[in-house]
Amino acid sequence: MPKSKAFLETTILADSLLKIGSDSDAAKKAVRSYESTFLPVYAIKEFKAGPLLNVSYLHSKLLECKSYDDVLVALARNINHKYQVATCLRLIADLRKRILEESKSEGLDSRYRSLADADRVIYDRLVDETKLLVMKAWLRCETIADSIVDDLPCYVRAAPKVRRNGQYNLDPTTCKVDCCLAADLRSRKMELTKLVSVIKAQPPKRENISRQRVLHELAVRPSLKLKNKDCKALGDAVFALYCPADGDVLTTNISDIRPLTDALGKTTCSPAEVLGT
Amino acid sequence: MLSSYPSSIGDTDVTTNATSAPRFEGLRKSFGASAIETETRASKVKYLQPTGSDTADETRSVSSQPILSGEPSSPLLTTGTSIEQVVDSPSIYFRSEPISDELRRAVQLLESSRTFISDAIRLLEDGEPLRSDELTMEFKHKLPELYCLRTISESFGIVINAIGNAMENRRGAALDKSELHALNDILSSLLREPAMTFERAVRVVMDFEDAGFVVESHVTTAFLDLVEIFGEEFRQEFAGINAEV
Repeated sequence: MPKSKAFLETTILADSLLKIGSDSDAAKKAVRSYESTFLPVYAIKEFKAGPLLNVSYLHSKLLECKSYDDVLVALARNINHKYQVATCLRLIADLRKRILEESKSEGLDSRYRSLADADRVIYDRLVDETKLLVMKAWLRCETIADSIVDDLPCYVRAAPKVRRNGQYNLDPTTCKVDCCLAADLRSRKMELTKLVSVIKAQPPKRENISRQRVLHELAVRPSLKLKNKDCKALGDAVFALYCPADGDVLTTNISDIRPLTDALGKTTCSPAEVLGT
Repeated sequence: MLSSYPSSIGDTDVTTNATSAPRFEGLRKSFGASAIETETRASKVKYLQPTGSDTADETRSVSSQPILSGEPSSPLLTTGTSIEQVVDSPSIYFRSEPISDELRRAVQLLESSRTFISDAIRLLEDGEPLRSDELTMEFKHKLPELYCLRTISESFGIVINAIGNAMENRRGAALDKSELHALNDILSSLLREPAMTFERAVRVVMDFEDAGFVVESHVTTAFLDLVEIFGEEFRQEFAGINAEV
């Protein structure tokens, strides 16, 4: 049974602000279904350094490659997982074919020449869309929740900037020097110890190993200074630690976050659970 | 088809050529005879020919629109180089101003699009949802050409693309009254400011989105899925690109 308050996790931002379709709809509906919603600055930091950076990257890659086909080739070359690449490329090719069929309009070729060329149109649309998406998602971040909470004085929440070459500059995406979370977390030794125990029992994923290390060090080393990579490693633990007791962590990453909130006597909900679907 | 509906040209008045000729004469004097070419530009005339779906008003304006001498004071004022003839024009916004053919055509298309949508709203209010949807479909046919006019400004392309995606994502579902009003609003914004700033374009699209439209395409989503799956690999390369810039 969902509580009345939601503490939004980064995956909800990504689904709501960057995706379309059922995942996006579910995330938006779930957010709206709570009486009050809170967005921690840590989620904004993760969102900007992760999903939003992906869109910015795609925009930069499009500008660099200057054609739809070249972007596909460039992306495929960067990826090692050939099977998944093939699946995605097939999907993109199918979509491209459909768009070309839908956007055929007689007479435009002769009047507008290259501006009406199907490949140029689809490429330009992708460039326009990624540029719009970065700024729109950033602005929507500010309004998706009722309140933005748990400010991080060590992190500057600066809007994306457009460079002269058209690419986005998302800096800063990291904390300045010492992360301000350290001082607060050191005073919560009991909770840190509980989280370390829970993470030990979880699958030995790379992110779990680094998270466990940072939480352990915070618990046992009072003088530890958190670097940005340590702050980043905390990830899911931050949401479990800072979610108000009378609220749910709202996330699609149930498998990783629920064990952490359970250990602290808090709750986690997915959009599907909130909506009862 | 549209000729069966009353055609309005938005908030503007249609003026006659009565005042146009003296103005062109004035231009001629100001710029000097050498600055104004009088030859007919066949290619431009062809370029400005309306499509079959255009309105009667549009047809009149397109075939009669004078092409004026260009002043290099703005990126938008670069392509016109001659005066062909002086005739009446419903495209009153820039009737006596030297503007590019692209901008002139965009204004015509946006005006007729707005007419379609205004009429669609009226028909919906009159309890004619099918005829209302027919007009919306007519409007959709203008979007490919409007996107071909994206050289007007980056924001123009961004806004038109957002509208195009929104229409595609509807998958044929008819628009309700509030959605038609939102469409009318965004078209009006573009008509007022075809070269609005990027920041303004983002706000305009967000307002449009708030009416319930989805302005992203499935292609972008598919690309982003690809990027997301391998995010770490991409981010490492991106760090390299950033370092170079």
